[in-house]
Amino acid sequence: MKWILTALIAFVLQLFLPWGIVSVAAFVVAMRFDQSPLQAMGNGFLGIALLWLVWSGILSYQNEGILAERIAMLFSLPSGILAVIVTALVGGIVGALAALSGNLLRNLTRKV
Amino acid sequence: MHSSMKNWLYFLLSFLATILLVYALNTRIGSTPPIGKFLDPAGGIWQNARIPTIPESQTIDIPGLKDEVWVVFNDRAVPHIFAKNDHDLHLASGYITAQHRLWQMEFATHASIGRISEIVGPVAMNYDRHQRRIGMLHGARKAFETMNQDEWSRNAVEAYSKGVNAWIDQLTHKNLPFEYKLLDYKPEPWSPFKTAIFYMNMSKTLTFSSDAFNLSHMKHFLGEEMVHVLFPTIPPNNEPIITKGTTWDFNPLIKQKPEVPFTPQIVKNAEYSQRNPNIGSNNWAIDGSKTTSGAAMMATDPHLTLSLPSIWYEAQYNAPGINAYGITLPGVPAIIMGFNEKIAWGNTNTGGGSLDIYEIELNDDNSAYFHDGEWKPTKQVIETFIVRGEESRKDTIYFTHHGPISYLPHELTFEADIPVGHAISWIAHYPSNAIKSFYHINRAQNLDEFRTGLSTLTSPTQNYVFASVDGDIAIQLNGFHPVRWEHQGKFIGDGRDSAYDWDEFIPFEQLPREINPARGFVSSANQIPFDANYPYYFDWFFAPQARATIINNTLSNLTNATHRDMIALQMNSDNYWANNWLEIKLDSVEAYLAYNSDASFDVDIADHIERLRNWNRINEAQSEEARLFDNWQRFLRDELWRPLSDSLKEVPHLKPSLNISYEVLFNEYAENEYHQIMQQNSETGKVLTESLVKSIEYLAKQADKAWWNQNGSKINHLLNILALNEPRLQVNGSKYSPNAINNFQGPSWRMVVEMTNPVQAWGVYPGGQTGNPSSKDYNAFIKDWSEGNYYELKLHRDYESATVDAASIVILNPSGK
Repeated sequence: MKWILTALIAFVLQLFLPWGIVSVAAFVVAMRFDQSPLQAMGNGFLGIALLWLVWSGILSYQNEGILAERIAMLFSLPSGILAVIVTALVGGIVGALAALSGNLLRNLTRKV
Repeated sequence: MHSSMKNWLYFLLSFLATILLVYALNTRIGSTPPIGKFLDPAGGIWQNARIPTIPESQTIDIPGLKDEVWVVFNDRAVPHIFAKNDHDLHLASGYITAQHRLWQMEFATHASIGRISEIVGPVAMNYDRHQRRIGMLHGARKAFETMNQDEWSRNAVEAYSKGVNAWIDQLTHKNLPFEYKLLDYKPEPWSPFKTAIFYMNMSKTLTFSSDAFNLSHMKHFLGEEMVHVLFPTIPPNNEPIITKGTTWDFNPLIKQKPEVPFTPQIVKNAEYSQRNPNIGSNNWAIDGSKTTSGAAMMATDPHLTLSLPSIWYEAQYNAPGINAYGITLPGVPAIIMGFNEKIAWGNTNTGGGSLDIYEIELNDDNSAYFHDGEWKPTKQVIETFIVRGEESRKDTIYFTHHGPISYLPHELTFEADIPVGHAISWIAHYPSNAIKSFYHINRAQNLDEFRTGLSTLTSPTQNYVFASVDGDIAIQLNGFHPVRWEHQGKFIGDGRDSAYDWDEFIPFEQLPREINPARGFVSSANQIPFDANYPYYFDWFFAPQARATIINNTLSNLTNATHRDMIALQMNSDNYWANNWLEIKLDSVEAYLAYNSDASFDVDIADHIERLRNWNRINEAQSEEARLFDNWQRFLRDELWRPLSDSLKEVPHLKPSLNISYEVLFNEYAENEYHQIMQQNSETGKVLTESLVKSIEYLAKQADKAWWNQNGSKINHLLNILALNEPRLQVNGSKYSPNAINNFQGPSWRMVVEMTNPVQAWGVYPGGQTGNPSSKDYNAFIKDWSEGNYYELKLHRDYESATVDAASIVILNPSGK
C-alpha cells in the first residue's frame, strides 16, 4: 500500500509543482514507514512508475497513440507502447532512488 | 559509532545520487532533451496530446482589443476572423496564428537573422554568421524602418504583435509547443520587427541566387560567346509568359555598358551551390470565353520546399473594408495569395536578376574599398551573437555601397554561396513595405486598384496572375528589377567600376504585363517572361519551357471549362521531354543498334525500348518507365557534356540545360560550338545507347523500381527530425510537369478560384493548420493534397453566414468589458 500512497502524494504534488517533486513524495513515504531498503526502493519505484504509466497511458490512449509513436521514434524505440513504458521507467528510477534515500535516513534517525 | 558513520555515508551517497539524477534528467545533454522533464506526464511532452486544434467555443478576454472579435473555425480549423476594425483584425490574427504556429513563427525568424545558436548552441554559429553576413538582419532592419514610417502598416504589425504576445502570455510549461520542450527553451515576446524578419526570409527563398561565380569561370576558359550560346538569354523553343510578338510602347531607361571588359580574379578552389531550378510555380487565368459559367477563372500553385509545419496558414480576414480569404505567412498579417469578393490573385516567382556579385578591392585594414577611381570608406557593423551555454560572440560586417562583403579575402565561406572578397547587391536590402502593398492588394476591388497595390511591392519579384468578377484577367510582374546593360550580372561584376552599379530600377509601368489578351488566358510557370522584343535585360536563368508549354497548350484548347479542368491541369503529370523527344531518342538507339550489330550489352535493350514506346509518357507514381526515362535523361546529359566537365575538371562550372542538350543532339543547335568544345564528332546514337544501357542497369539495381521511390514528395519538419517528418509519398508528378512534384519541392498550395458572384474557390496545401506534431491534424491535409482532393474555400460575407458550418466559435473580448 506504500506505493499507492507514494503515487497519490506524487500525483497531488505534480498538479502544482515541477516533475522533480515526485522524488519528495517517494522520499517522504519511505521515511514514514519501516521497510527494508529493497522494499522501500520497490515501493518508490512502483509508486512513481505506475503513476507515470497510467497518466501517460491515458493521455496516449486519448490521442490514439499518435504522440506515443513520435516519442518512440525520437528515442529509436520500436513502438509507441514502449514510449509509455520508458516514461514509467524514468519516473520509477527517480522514485526508487528517492525512496532509498528516505529509507536510509529513517534508519539513521531511528538508531540515534 | 563506526556503523553509524557508515550509514550516514550510505544515506548521503543515496541522497546525492537522487539529486544528481533529478538534475541530469532535467538537463538537455547534447541533442537529447531533458528526459525527466520531457517525459513527465504532468507537464512534459505527453501534455501536448491534450492541446486541441480547434479550441472549444468560448469567450476569451484579450487586453488591447478595441471591440469584440468573432472567430469562426471550420472543421479544418481554418479561422474566419470577423473584426470591427483593422487593429482588432490584426490582433486577432496574431493571437490565432500563434495558437497554431507559434514555434514555427519564432524559429523561422530566429533562423532568418542568424539566432539559432541561441537555441542549439555553438554548432549553429557558422550558419548564424552566414545569415548576418549576407545581410538578413540588415535588410530586415531596412524593411522595418520603412514599415514604421507608414502609420497604417506600423499599426498593423503592432496589433499583430500584441495578439501573438497575448497568446504567449497565457502559455504555461504544460502547453508549450512540442519543439520548445524538445529543445528545452521558451518563447520570447514577439515584436513588430519580427514580421519584417519573416518576410525577409521569403525574399531569400525566392530571390537569393546567382550563377555568376560558375559562369565567370566558364567565360574565362571558354570565352564569353560560348557561354552565351550554351546559356542563352532567350532559349530555343521559347514559350514566354507574355504572348510572343508583343510590342512595348515606351522609351526604356538605359544603363551604359562598361568600356573595358572585366576578368575577375577568380577564386579557383571555391565551391558553389548550384541554383535550384525547382523552386518554381504555376499560375494562370482564363477569361469568360473559355468557361461554362462565363466567369473568369484563376489558378495558382506556388512550388516551394515542402515542410511541416507548412509555410502557409489558411485564414479569412473580415473587417470594414476587407473581406479576403487565402493563405498567410505565419508571422505576417496579410493574405499573400487568395481572393476577396471581387478579385483573385496568385503569384509565381520571376526569379533571377535579384542578386549580383562584385569583386571588391579592399585596403589593408578593410577600412576602404576602391570604386570609381577613389578609395571609399567601408561601413562597419558589429553584430552580437548569443550562444547557448557559452559566451556571446561578436562579428564585424563590412558594407560597401553595393552591399555587404559577405566574406573577407582571408576567410572561409559558409555554403560557399558567395566567394570570399566579394560584395553582393540584393534587392531585399532595399527599403520595402510589403505589409502596405498587401493592404491594397487584399482590399482591391478591380484591376486598377490591384495594380496600384502591386506597384509598391518590391520583393520578391514575381509574376502575379489576376482575375476579377468584372471579367478581367491579367498577368503583371512586380518588384525591383535593376536597369541593366545586356548580360549585366551574368558574370561577377567589377566592384571598382560604376558601370556595374545598380543605378535605378525598371519603372513598374514598364515591367512585363498582359491584360485581357486575345488568346483568352494568361499564365506563368517561372519561364522567361518575354521574347526578344522586350527592351530590358533581366537575367538568363529561368525555368525551362516544359511546364509552360503543357499549360499553354492545354489552355489554348480549352472551352467550356469548369474548376475541375483547372484542378486537372494542376495535377497534370505529363512528361514534357518524353512527349517531345522520346520517339526520336528511341529511333536513334535502334538505328545505332542496327548499324552496330556487333555491339553487345548485358541488358535486354529491345525489351526496354518496347516498354518505353508503350509508356503513356506520364510520370505516374507506380510507373517504372517514368523512372527509366528520367534516369536515361540524366545520364544522357552527363554523357553529352562529359568532355566539357572533363576539360574544366575542378573549375566551377554548370552543365547546359536539358533544353539545350536536346537541341544540340537533334536540332544541330550550336553545332560548331559544340564540336569545338568536344573536339570530336560525337555520335548521337552512341551517346544515347550508352546512357540508356546505364539507366537500365541502374534501374535493375533498385529494390522497388516505381517512380515515386525516386521522386515522391518528402515533407520534412523544419528541424528535419525523423520522428516529425512524413514518410515519402507515393505521388505522381515530376519537376517538368505542371504537377511539379520533386522530392522536397512541390506545390505548397493549390488554389482555383471561379469569379462568379459570389466567388467560388477550392484549395489544399500539404500540411495542417496546426503545427502540433502530437495531433492528428498536424498532417491532416496531406492525403487529400496528394490525391488532388480540394476543399471548398468559403468566403463568408458576414459572421452569421460563417456560423452555419462552424466547428467552433471563439469570441475575443476586450478585457474589462
